[in-house]
Amino acid sequence: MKLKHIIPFILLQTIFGFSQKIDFKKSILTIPDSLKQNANTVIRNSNTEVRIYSKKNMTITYSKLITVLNANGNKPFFSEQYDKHKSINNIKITIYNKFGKIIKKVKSKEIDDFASASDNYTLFTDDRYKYYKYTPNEYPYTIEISYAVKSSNTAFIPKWYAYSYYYTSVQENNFKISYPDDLILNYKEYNFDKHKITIEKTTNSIKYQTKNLKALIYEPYSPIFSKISPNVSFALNKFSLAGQIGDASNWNEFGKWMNEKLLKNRNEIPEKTKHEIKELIKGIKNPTERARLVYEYMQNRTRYISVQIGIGGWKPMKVKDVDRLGYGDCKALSYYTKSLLNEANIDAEYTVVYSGNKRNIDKKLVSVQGNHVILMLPTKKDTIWLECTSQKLPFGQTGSTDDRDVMILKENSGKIVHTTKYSAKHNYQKTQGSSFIDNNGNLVSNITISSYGKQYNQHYLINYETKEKQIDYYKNKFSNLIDCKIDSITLKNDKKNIVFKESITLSTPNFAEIIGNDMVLNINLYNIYSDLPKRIKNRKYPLVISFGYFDEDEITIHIPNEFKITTLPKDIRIKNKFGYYKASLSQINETQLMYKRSILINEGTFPKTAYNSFRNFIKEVIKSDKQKIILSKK
Amino acid sequence: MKKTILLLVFIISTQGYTQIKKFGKVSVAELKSTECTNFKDANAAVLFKHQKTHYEYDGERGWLLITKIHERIKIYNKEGYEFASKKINFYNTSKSSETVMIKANTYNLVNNKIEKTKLKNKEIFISKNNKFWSSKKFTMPNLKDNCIVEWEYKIISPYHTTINDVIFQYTIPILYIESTIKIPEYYLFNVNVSKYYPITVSEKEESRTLNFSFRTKETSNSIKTTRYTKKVELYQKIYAIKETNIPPISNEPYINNINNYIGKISFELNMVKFPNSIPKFFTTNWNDVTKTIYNLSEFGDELNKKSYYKKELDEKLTNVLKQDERIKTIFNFVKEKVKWNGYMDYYTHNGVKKAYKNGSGNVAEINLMLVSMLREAGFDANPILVSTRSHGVPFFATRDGFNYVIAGIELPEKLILLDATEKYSSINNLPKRVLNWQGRIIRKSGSSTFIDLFPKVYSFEKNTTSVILDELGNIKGNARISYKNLNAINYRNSYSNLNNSELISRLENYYSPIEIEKAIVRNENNLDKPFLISFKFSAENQGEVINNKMYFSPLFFLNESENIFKADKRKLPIDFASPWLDNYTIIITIPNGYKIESIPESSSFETKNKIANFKYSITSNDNKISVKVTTKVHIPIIPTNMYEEFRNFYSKRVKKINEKIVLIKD
Repeated sequence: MKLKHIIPFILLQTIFGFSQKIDFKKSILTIPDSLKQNANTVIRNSNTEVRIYSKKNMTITYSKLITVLNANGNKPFFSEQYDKHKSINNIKITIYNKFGKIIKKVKSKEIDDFASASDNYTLFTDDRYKYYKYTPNEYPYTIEISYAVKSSNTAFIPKWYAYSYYYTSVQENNFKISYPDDLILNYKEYNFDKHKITIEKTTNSIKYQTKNLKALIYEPYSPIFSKISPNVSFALNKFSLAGQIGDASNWNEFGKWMNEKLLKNRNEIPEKTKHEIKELIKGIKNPTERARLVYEYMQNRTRYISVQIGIGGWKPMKVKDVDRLGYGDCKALSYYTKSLLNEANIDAEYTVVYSGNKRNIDKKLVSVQGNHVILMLPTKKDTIWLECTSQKLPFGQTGSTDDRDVMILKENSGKIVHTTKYSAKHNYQKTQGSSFIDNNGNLVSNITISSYGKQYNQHYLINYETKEKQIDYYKNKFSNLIDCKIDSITLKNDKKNIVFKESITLSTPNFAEIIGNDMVLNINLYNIYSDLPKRIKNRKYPLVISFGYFDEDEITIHIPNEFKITTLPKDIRIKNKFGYYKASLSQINETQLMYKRSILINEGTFPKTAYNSFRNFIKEVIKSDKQKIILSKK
Repeated sequence: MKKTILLLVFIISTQGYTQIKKFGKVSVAELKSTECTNFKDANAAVLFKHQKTHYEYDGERGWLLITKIHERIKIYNKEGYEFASKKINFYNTSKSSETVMIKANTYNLVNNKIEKTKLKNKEIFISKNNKFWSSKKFTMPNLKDNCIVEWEYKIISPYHTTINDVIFQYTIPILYIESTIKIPEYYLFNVNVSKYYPITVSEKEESRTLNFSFRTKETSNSIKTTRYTKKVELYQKIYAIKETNIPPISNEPYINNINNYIGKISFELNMVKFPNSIPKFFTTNWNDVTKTIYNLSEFGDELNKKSYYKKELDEKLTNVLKQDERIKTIFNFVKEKVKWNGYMDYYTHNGVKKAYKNGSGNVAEINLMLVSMLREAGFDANPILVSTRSHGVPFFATRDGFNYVIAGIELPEKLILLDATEKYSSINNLPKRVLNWQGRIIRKSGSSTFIDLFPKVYSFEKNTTSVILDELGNIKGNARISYKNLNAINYRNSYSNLNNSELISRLENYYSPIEIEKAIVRNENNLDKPFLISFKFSAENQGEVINNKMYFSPLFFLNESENIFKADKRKLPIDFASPWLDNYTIIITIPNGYKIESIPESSSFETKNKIANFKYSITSNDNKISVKVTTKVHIPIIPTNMYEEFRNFYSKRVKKINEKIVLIKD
């Protein structure tokens, strides 16, 4: 009897003793279940306040409380770049266990501080990072981070994102920005329509607040994250970049400023090079031809190395330095090429772009944007775009900068234009060849793959690999031909017409399986579709097919003389909004069959309901690509 | 006459590079060559590398270690441009630092004349990487195909007891290397060459006169100092290598840490003895190494601490009488009590007591605590020093050769190995990071010996799947997979603590193209039992109907459709970390309206050297087919000389499991 009383008392005491040190707000007990669903991380509370005092002075204070539910959610939650124009102060990081009890106060010496020039292509950058990653003993845990940033680079005002990424829910996220009367703050809100966001605007401040956002699940073939999460970008009409005051009232003024501060008076070409250019284009009338020669001249004497000094890494190296050193980053090499082209009396515009996933320079928000520089070359016929950081790309062939809004810098202005959009048929691959099968099922193959457009980019680099690596590459490419031997590889890189031709002969012993009197043989051996898009229940996002292309295969199959084919499979034809697929096998004569296959995939964005039909289409393609025939003994 | 000509040709063609040339003296012939004669595929080659390391004495700074490296690299094409960049790390603290001096040139042949481009000082970038390390980084200017780059740099280091490894193998060929390391008699180093690319290190002695000057105050109070010069006669030891045509090293699938295989020479300080002073010993052999480690207060003393856990441990062990139960109780007690904080080391950082109190500690804190508790409970338990896979294989007696410690109990009939840092590790089932050749057990008595760490049991997977095949070739069924030993640790780590949708999604990725309706994981934390996963699945188009027949391979989603070992030759051993065994049993129910026309033959085979075997047995009756496939690899590491045999075994196996069953319409 007595004992029963004692136990609760002890329990009470321990709880009481505990509660003095713990903060229930920081315990996981206050996270609603709905926010734990599909979440690795919960943003409990995030407050960001940007205070712009003048065009040369702003502070940003951050305070975040983040609960990490499992190991997949464990990230370095503190990682901030700084440089001469930006400092980070008052860093406080505290770790709490799941009950909200403090288990660690991070000391300043535990915070890493390093230079960011760590990759192979970066020689130098002014940028440094402060960084902290906690290694927990158990999950969940909660991390509290607060720090202040002081910066004179008002060209880069932090963006606000309602979500930080997939699998992260948000309990509360606040953002406030304030600015002085004499400046105009331009901003653009994206993806606000489907989410509840409280907005409070005054004459010189804006506040955003959002609460209880459930974790998002990543879906393949979905739009990029900046098109999913609500987010806001900001820009001042007058800003400072590494001590230089700029004007972003409109693209014209902005372009003028960039020209003035970043490019002007840096284009002096050494006499020797001038002379070489002159010699190079002697007697060549066609400006495109001249441009090609100059471009190839540049490719031959430069390579890509990143050196980020001066105006926060936004100013290209001087032309004469690139000329002497033979290297530079995208800005330096583009600017160098532009200057050489000018020397050959050809106009070319310095063009700022987002490279990679399709992303526009936002026309409506005049500001420093982009992550790459290319050149635009207007010609009578059409516009040619030049990627200057590659030593190998053919003239006029670009990496991933097609079909998007970019900013070109003219002598005295800036302008937004759109880069070339290629059709699916432009990205073309043709496979031709023969399969010879003997009576024992051994296979010898002769195939030639020609690739064009963006498919050229996916193939041509093998040309520059060692023989050993090439063999390895083709063995892996044809991994379905078990133990195949690569007998010969002939590669032809036609840079002028931008066609890459791979001719390969290979032999595969015991390829076709013989069962009794039958030989079982796969029809499609060299271009097999195998990646089935993942099954998604209750798809949330539109279907985005970001790469459109067209493949045609024509293979002659020589069947062994002791065998015959009894029935040919039916032709397959599928056509829908995503493209089409056709496959057919016909008999040429007693020993030869002709296999024809073509697949066209259209680039595009489709409603979310289209995902399942797209997946079914691919399923059919995969099934058809696995099709077999049976040869029987005569 | 004829003879002499032949001889001359012979000399020229085999000569290649056998000498060091002066900095700046590049020949037209060197620039003209467009291909590396001995390594035709090379995009770049080190024409020569010359290293000279020796000691100087400075009156003010004391002993200095001076290393001069001169490298000349031929760049054949643009793929080789990346070898024209260099990063030199150096120690740089507020107290003392190493000095690095660099000169470098690029040479091109322009109209048959040599054009030299100097690397300017402002093109050398210094970055401070952290509190201790800085680096000088540069990339050579004016590169063109077939150019030559050359640099010479000198490092002056006050850290005279540390001689850096001499690396003599790169990812490009080194046509000639010559290195000499001269060490005064006062220092005794152990010298070791990596086993994988052996090279001869010659040793000789020479006498040397060392002149140095220093300043000293005349009396202890005086301000004035006087400069003295001194002359010392001494011997120095010269280690030298000379080697030609060292092939490049490259990565291959299924290898251990590549640094284990790179050609290098390492120097380990053994003893320092200056005239008129007592010698100071560092390490000499493995016994001494282990003794030194044992005598560290962060090792031996930590093992002897007991009071902090005694009471709790006694409580845990009351009424636990059986020996193996006692071991397990202690092991689990440590695992629950202290979690690993991710740091490796064989010595403690904050001490066992603190780790016990805070509930987290490094490898040494956890496993030394474990040894101590086992001893307290009456077992003959000892620590075993280990070098993890990421740390490499120590190839000579050195303290730095180890970075980890586990616990071992030597019983008359067997050896028990334990690692309490890994949540899913159990008795004699160590995590993969530890499975790296040998560990060194240090006994209470002070004796020590090597212990083989590789598992003696198979990393085990047993898969039992029932499949119902319908007349369209679609399948559905149930699969039950059980994992034991190393596989159990690995798969527990991959599939435990996931919510159901994540579990299904990962399994679907792994076993593409099936769709999973329901999946269950069992024995996540019950380490005495195998780790179990079972799921209900379906997939379309797994059997192909042609005319009135249906064709399929019986393993369905468990099938392997390619041989992972594609290369004809292999330069480095295949490292599986453990012997392994896969066992699949598939029971297939065929659709109504079909009967079996043919099934593949049962068969079994093994490699000639008996390192692996394969068994395929198939039976059928009425509408059921049962297939059992077992693959066993008996050793954890397949040496390169067994590669071909093993590759053929693998391909035979893949072909066998791809053979088809044929059904025919009734």
